Amino acid sequence: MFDQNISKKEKELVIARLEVLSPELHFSVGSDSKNLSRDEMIQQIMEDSAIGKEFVKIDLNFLRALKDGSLMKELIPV
Amino acid sequence: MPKVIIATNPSDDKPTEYLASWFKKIITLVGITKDTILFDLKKENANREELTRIIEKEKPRGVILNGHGNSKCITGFSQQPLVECDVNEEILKGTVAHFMACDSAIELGPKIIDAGAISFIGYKEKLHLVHLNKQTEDDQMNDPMIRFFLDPAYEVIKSLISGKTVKEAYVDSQNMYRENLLTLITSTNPDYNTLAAGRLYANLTNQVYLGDGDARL
Repeated sequence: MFDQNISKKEKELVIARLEVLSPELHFSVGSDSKNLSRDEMIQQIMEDSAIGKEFVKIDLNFLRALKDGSLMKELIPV
Repeated sequence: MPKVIIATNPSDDKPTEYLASWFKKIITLVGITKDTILFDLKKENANREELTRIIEKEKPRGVILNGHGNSKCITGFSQQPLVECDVNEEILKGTVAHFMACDSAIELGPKIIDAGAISFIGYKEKLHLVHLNKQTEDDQMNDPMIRFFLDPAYEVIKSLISGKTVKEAYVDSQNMYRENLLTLITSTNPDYNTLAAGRLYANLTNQVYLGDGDARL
């Protein structure tokens, strides 16, 4: 997991990725019992909340794994 | 001798509701598998006293805790602690434990193994779910998004009940995570998106097993 501050552009990227999804999608993140819709998650990201930061971090980690090939290695069945 | 399993399903918010709804698949499997007895502590019964009482009385080999958690604790109903580091991890001595809760493999899992549990399967970071916020049990079971997350997570339990080892069950689960991840990445269905894939990738890479990989239920 990459541990770094999240830039404005990275937040905008993840928000843009969220905006094209169905508004019906909901996200449960960690032990937070909140259940957030697409639009509520966008709001959390814009407000820099802990749940918003976690959401962005996971997406950036995935995109970086796609870029550096580690995702492809992970997809090979054992 | 029948396999005895105890499970907790607090079902008091949306994530744990989904876990409980999908646990019906495990209940159905147990019904088909004649040699397995399941004690399912639901809602208010998912508490430490009841869990301890049944473990002491029935001596289950398998302990499946669905709930919320952090590195030191897993909770039951109303997020009250069920098992905590340096408090009661020894109650899982002699068991194969599966925790469906965030961060439990960081400290609690190793503590449980140190205290005498045979094996532990859990997650070392936060768990992520993507779903359509369905309200009824049937609708939650038919939610087309949640299946990508809960089918592989519960595959561990199914494989264990079917007689496989902890390591085999873990590999079955990991491979199902991989299959679902590939579907989310490559499908032309616009609802199967890479944002959901990112969350599933996190669950895949954060799932671990500790202890004896050759153990069975």
